Amino acid sequence: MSSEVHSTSNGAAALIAAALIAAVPLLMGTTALAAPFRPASDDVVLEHLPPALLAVRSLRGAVDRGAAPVDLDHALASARRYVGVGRTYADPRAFGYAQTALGPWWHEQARATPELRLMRARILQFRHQFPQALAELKAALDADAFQADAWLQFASIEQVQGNIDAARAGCLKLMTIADPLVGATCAAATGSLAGRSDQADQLLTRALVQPTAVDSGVRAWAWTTLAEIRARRGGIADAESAFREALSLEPDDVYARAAYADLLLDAGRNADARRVLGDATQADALLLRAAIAAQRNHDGDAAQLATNLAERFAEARARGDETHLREQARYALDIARDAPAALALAQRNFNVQREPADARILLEAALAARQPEGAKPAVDWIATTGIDAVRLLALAGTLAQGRPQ
Amino acid sequence: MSRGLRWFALALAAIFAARVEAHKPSDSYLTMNAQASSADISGHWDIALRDLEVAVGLDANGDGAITWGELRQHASDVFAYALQRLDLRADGAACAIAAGDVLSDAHSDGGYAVLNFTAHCPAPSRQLEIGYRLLFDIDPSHRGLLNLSVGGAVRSAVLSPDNAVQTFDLARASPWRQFFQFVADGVHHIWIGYDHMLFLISLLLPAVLVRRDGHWIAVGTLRGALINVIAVVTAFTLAHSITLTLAALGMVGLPSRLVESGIALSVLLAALNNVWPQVTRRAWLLAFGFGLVHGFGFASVLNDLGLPRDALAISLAGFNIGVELGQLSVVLLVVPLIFLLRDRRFYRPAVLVGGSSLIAAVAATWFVLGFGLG
Repeated sequence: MSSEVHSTSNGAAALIAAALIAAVPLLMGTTALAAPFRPASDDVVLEHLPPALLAVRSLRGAVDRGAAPVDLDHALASARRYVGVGRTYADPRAFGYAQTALGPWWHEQARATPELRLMRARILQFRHQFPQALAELKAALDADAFQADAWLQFASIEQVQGNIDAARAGCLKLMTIADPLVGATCAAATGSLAGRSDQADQLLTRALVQPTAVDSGVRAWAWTTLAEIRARRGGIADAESAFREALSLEPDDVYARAAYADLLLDAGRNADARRVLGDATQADALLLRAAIAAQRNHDGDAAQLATNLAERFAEARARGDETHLREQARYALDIARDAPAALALAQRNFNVQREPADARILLEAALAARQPEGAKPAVDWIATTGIDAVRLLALAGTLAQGRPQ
Repeated sequence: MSRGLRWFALALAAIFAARVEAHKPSDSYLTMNAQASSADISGHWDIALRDLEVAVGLDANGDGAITWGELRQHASDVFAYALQRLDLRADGAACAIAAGDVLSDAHSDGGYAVLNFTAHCPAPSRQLEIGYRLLFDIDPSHRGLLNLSVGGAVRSAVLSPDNAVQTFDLARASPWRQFFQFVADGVHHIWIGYDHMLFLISLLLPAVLVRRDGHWIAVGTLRGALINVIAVVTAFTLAHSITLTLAALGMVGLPSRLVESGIALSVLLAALNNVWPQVTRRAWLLAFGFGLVHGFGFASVLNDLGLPRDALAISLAGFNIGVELGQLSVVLLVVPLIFLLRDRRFYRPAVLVGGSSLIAAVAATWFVLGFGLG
C-alpha cells in the first residue's frame, strides 16, 4: 500500500514537472502588456526615422502641407520622386504623398494626360487596385502607344495577375521602343513564366553584358529578374550571384532582399538569410522572412519576431487591408502552423495575384491541410502557363499523387 | 516628354513592381470612452511619430531619431495639429476638446505619440458624431482606427477620406449583447475544439472508478463519482482561467505552435494515464497542470475573435463562462452515461483502455503534425 502511494506521488510529481517544463517557454516568452508610458528621460529615443522618411523629408515642400501644386508638371515631378522613394522602401506612405502631390489632378478625367494616367496607375498598382490601374494604362496607351513605361507597367500588372500571354504581348510592344535591357528583362521575366526559362536566362545574361544607358535601378531589377529565373530552375549558386549583383547596385531594395532571403531559406541557410535581411525589418516582407529564419534557426528572438508579425497582421485586418494575404498565408503556414487558415488565405490571395510565389503558397497550404482540391486554381494555372519552376512542378506532382480518386 | 525625362520615368518604373511587399501603411488609433449619462468623453489618440514628423516636424536636431524630449517640446504643436482635425458633436452640438498629457507607446510598426484628451459636450447625448480629418491632406491612404467604448460595449470603425464622419447611437449600446456573444463563442469553441473535449473525457473516464491494489473497481455511489468529477473539472477550470486571463491581458504569451503541441501532449498524456495508470488519486493535479496550457489555446481563440480592449472584462468573463458552460454540457452528457456503464464488464477494457488508446492515438497524430508540418 505504502509503495503504491509512493509511486502515485512520483507519477504526480513527474506530471507536474512536465507541466512546468511546458510552462518554461511561457515565462521566457512573457511580453508586457503594451501600454502608454512616460519615458524616464528626455534622451529616450522613441523612434528611429526609417530611410524612406529621411528621403521624403528632404523632398518636403509645399505639397506636403496640403497646399495646391501650381501646375501639372511640378505636381508630376513631385509625385515621381515620392513614388521613387515608395518603391525602393516599399513604403505606402510615400505613395500617399505622391497622391497628394497630384492634388486636383488625382480625380481629373476629361483632360488627363498620358503621363498623369501613368502616375495614377503606379499608385493604384501599389495598392493592388489592378483593374483600375489597367484602365488608366489602357487609356494612356490609347492616346499614345509609344510609351515604354506604360507598356512595362501594363506587362507587370498582367504578370502579377497571372495573365502571362497578355504580359508577354506588353513586353513585345516594349522591346520595340525601350532600352534593350528593359525590353530584355520584361521579355525574360514573362518568358520564364511561360516555360522558357533557359532561353530567358540566355537572353538576359547577354543583355546584361551589353553597354546600356539605363540607371542602376533598372540594372538591379534586371539582375533580380535573372536571379529569380535561375532560382525557379533550381540553380541556387547562379541565382545567388545574380542576387548579389542586384544588391550591390541597390542595397536597400526590399524586393530583391526578400527574394534572396527566400532562396537562402529554401536552401536551409537560415543564418545567411538573416544576414541578408539585416535588422531592417520595417517592411513586412523582410520581417516575415526574418521570423521564419529565426524560427527554423531557433534564434532567441524568434518568438518576438513572430509576435510582432502577428500584431502587424492584426492591425492590417483592423484597417481592412487586403494587400498582405500572401504574407499572411505564409505566416499561417510556416510560423503559426495553421494549415487550414493558411489555405483559406492562400486561396483568397490567388484570386487577386497569381505569381509563382502565390501558386507556391497555395500548393503548400493545400498539401499541409490535406485538401489537394483546394489548390486546383494553382494547378490549373501551372498547366495553362507551362511554367517550368522545379519546385512548383514538384509540389503539383506530390499533390496529384495524394489526391484521392 | 523629352527623351531624357522618359528614361528617368522608366527608371522609376523599374517596377515590375506589383511587388507590393510593403510596410504597414499609416494608421492612427483613436480610442474614446463615452457614457450615455455623461456629457464628458475621455480618450487617447495614438499617432505615429513618423507621421507627426512629416506633419508637424519633431526631429528638432535633424539626427533622424525622435526622442522623448523632442516630442515633449512639441507637445502643444502636436495637440493643436491633431485636435483641429477631430470634431465631436453630441446631438448636433460641438464638443470642446481639451488636451491632456502626452505619453508614448509602441505599436508593431514603431513609436507613437499618445495624446490624452477630454471632450466636454453641452449635454449627455443620444447621438455622437465623429468627424476625422487627420493626415488625409498629406497621405490619403491614412486611416483612423476608431474604438468607441460606451458603457463597456465597443464599436469600431475605420475612418478614411471617403468615410470621414461616423455617427454612433449611444443610447442603444448594450454591453449585455456583447457579453452574450462572447458566451456563445466560448460554448462554440468547446464543442468544435475536439482537443479540449478529448482532454476532459480522458480525465472523466476514470472518475467513475477507484484504483485499489493495482486494479480498477467501480465506484460505489454517485456521490463518490461526483466528488472526483468536481475535483477534476474545478482544477481544469481554475487553471485555464488563470492562463486565459493572463494571456488575454497580454501579460504572458506563448507561440501558438507550442500551445498547440502542448495541448496535444496534454491529451496524449491524460489518455495514456488511463492505459498505464500513474496518477490515479489526484487526477485533479493533471487537470490543473495541463489546464494551464489549454488556457493559452482559449486565449488565442479569444484574440482571433477580436478582443475589444476597453471591454476586456466583459469579453473575457463572457468567453470564460461560455467555455465553462460548454464544458459543463460535456460533463452532463458523459458522466451519467459512464456512471451507468461503470460496472459493466466491457467498461474497463473497451471504454477506459480502448477509448483512451484511441484518444492517445489521435493526440499523438496532432502532436507529430504540429511539429512536423511545413
